[in-house]
Amino acid sequence: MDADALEKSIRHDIDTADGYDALEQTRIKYLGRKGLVTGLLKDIKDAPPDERPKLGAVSNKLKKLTESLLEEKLSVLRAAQQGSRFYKKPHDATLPAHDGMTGRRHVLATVFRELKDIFVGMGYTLASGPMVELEYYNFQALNFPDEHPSRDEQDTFYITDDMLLRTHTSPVQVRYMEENKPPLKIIAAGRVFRNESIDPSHAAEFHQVEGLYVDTDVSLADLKLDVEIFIQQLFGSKTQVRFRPSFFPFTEPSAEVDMTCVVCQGKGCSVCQQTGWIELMGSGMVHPNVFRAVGYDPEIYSGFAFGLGVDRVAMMKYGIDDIRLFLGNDLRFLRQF
Amino acid sequence: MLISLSWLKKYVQIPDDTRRLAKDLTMLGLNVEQIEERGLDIRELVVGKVLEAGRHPNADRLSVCRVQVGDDDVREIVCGAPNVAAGQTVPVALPGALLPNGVKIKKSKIRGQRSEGMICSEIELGIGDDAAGIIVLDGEHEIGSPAGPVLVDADTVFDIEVTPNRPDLLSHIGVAREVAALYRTPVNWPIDASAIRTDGGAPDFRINIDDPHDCARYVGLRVSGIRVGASPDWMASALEAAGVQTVNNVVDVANYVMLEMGQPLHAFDFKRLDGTTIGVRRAETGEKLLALDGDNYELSDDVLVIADEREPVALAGIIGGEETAVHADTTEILIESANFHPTVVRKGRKALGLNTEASYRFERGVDPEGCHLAAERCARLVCDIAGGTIGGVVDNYALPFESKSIAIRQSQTRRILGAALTTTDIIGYLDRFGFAVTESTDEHVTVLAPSYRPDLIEEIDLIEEVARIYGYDRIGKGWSFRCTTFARLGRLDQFVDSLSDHLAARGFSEVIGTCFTDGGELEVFGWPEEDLRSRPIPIRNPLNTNHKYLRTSLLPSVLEIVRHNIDHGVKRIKIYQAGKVFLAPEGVSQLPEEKLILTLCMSLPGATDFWYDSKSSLELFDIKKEIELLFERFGVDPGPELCYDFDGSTGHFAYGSKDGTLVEGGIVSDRIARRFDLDQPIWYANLDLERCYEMRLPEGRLAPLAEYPASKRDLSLVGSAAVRYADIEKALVRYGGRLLESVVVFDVYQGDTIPQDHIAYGVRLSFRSPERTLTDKEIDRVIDKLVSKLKGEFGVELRS
Repeated sequence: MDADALEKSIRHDIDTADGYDALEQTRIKYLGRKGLVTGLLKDIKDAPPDERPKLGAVSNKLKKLTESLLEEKLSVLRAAQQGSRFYKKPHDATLPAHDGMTGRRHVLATVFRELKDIFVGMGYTLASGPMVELEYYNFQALNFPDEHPSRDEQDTFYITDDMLLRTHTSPVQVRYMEENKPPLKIIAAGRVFRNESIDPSHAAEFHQVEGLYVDTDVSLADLKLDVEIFIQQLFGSKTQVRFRPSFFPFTEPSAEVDMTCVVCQGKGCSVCQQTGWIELMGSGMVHPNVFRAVGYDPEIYSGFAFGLGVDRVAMMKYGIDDIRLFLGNDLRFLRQF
Repeated sequence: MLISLSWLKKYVQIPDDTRRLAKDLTMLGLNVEQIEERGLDIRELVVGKVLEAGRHPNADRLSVCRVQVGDDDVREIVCGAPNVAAGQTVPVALPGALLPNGVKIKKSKIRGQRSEGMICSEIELGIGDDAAGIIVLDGEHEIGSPAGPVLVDADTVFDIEVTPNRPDLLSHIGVAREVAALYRTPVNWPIDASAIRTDGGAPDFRINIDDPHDCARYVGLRVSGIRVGASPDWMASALEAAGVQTVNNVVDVANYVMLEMGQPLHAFDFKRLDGTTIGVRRAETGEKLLALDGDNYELSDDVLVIADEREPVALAGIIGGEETAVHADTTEILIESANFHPTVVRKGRKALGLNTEASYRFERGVDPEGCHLAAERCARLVCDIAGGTIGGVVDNYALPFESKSIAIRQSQTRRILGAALTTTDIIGYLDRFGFAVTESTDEHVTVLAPSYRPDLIEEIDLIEEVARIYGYDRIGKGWSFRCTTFARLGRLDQFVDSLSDHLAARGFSEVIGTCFTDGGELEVFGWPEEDLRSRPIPIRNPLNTNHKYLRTSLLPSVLEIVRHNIDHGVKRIKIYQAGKVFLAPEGVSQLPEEKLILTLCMSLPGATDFWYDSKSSLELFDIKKEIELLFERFGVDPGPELCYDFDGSTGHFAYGSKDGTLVEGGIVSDRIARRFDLDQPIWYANLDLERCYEMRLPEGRLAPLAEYPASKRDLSLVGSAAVRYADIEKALVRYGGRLLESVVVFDVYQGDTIPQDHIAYGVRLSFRSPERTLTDKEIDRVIDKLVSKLKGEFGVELRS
């Protein structure tokens, strides 16, 4: 068969193939191991040398043609099989179908959920308490002496002499310990209030998550483990963590927890003031006076507590530089998360 | 606390590498927040000598000077300062120098005269405010040498965050003690206890302390024959590095010793005191004092004062009085070095609205044992600097310090720290802080808490000291996963979480608003007085009017958010907030109820700006739909015992029972919209989330899927428009019995083919039995019953 006749035959066979099977038979007929086009290619080596290039070009052209015709027919067959009699072709299927009005959770809620997920996975149960608190739970039971300068660090909104807006989530610890016996492992999460002037890094209302673990023989070493696991879960397993001595009335020894700067990964930059570290959370061993206030014997029980700002975590995670954006609720902001 | 390293070096050896020192101090608990490098490092700023200064030929106010700036280097410089004169040693900026104010010095011609540099004033070098004349250097300086170090001492200043429990760190010696512990080196005191003289002669004054609990100790020390003037440069620059302004040589010494030893000091002009008895007493109501800050304070019993025989002369531990302060003509002073009680000083300064370096230290606790030594140090420095001789001293130690013995156990230390420390280790660490060990066994060590460490009270305080010096970073990581409690989120939390996911899927974005309100909503919302929302809890000390009350409803803050977004060009809004409101049935006599509310809000005004979504505005049923979807999705059953209250005339609806509303919502009224400056239709709904949670249908067991087909019947019902559909449906459900599976309205019609004031409903009833296929006869029987009941109860009939 000469090339023209062969081409004609190929076109005809493919055109009249009425299903996948027939098309496959056609493919084998021409391109199979013993196929006609394949045979043509094999013949080249037996042809006289001066005819070979021409023969080669013709055979290759036929091979390519067959392949593309087969492909074309295949998509026709597919379309025929996928079509629906209920379908009406739109004038242009590339038009967008959605106006972008998707709903989002607030970025703080997303971070809260992530924090809760991590802590629940680590065995912490969620506990809660009121935002309007008694002075006793917010300060006294947490070993803040009356008229002590440590209270100055927590500018407080008062409702009456002994009622206030909680300045931290720690009162939940006291309430929970009053109602329960060790061992206990809880987190408290929610809004806290500070009566201070508002600027990009200070808000009168912000959010904390706080953890507490009490059992016999809980040590600072245990605290280091949990805090490090938590931070690495949140910021990635390469994050380094450092504990340095600090002071909180309700814990002793107390530790400020730093992590490697999220911006420079610890190399030193303007965000971390060239130290490579940024302050993330406060922590420490529960002060014996707190145990005494809830009727636990500090000779039997020990425990650790830690707390961190949720807004701050969100700021670090997403590069947000103004804490006021959270309660500002600008949808152009909220829709980015 | 600003700690100057060149100052600190006087008392303790420090490493050359200041970064390392900063890191070591930070890891010891003295957080170095900032490091400031001080000094004047300007290239081409040299010491010069003015050889000649003559009038500029073309300008009266300018001088042409010949200034030597090197061995064989004499420059011609035009100078505008009135005080320039031959023979002066001056700082000269040569061509190429870049001054802190950005000026670059070049060779130039000024009014035709060549000028090869600039003789500088303080302001040009950024080291002072004096712009009137050039700086004239005192003393001998090598001509041509850099002038920067001559003008400003190079120094490194640490800004150390001092926690409220560590008043001892509010001084250079205090920090030196920690450095000494860190690097195991000694502290070199500028003066030691043996220097205290007890033979200063008979004092010519007395100290009276009314209540030793207010003032445990008062040391008064006389110095006479002084000359008040300016402080020497070394002291001025030390004070400046520590952030304290210079006043005069006497006040500066007092401040210097405070920053050195931590003891606040005050100097009275002795001649300006009335009488010879100094009293420490509470102020009488109505007494006044003009203080050093220029304010006249009205005093009360809360304030402890120092008084002469006539009137208060200082606010104890806070600030001195203007009248008896050291003046330019003062020659006789009385140095006060006292120990006032923290609470008294704190209450007093809060009552007066003051906060000073002195009160800051007293509030935290000053070393009672250090009073006399600080007074002596201060007196000697005054004599060195301002001349004079030390006179009589009175040390009224009314309530002597008793040092506490504290025991620390090896077992407890190990237990709390999770580090295998021995008693020997513990003794070693405590010794580095210089704590005196009074007793030790294999199990415990007893030490005396030093008088400068009021924070050391019990064993745990010593354990922290051991941990600090041992190093937190050396403590290993333990194993806390032996707790036998099991963890899960609260069910209500989970409910709110899945509700949020549902709403997000419905296109609502979550907002989180403020808990505060300015109360402005109260007048427009019109809650009746018995509604707790009309009585928000007031904040006693709000910073501004936005913080006046706690919210009783989420809607006002949601509307504020809507307004903010409309103002910023986002007009199509679907948002929700889940949060607590504060309701106070008992006023502020007990903690308020914190009620969890969900507020939905949607506003899609005008024609849509998107081709595919043809809906142009919302109706009541759009917000009702969201509520009913929530009920459906979370199995909340608002009936049947709940009454269904709906008033379509104002666009509001409510689901609820007698004892409380479950949901209320509708369109925001014009009155409220005006108040929030809103000019588009806004729909909202408030849900009581905790009640919704309680009203969920119980989790039942699986009901078998129907085996037999349902039979559907369409009824066209017509009746008076005054009859509510809800009542019709309720009746259908009630009388339809077990076989009636569902009721769906598929059409609502009002128009020409039925009488006016009538309305027609097309309802599709679905009947099914779990046991068999229903026969037409059975269904007809039910339909007949339904039709007759509807006719009887509502006058609603089948439409022919």
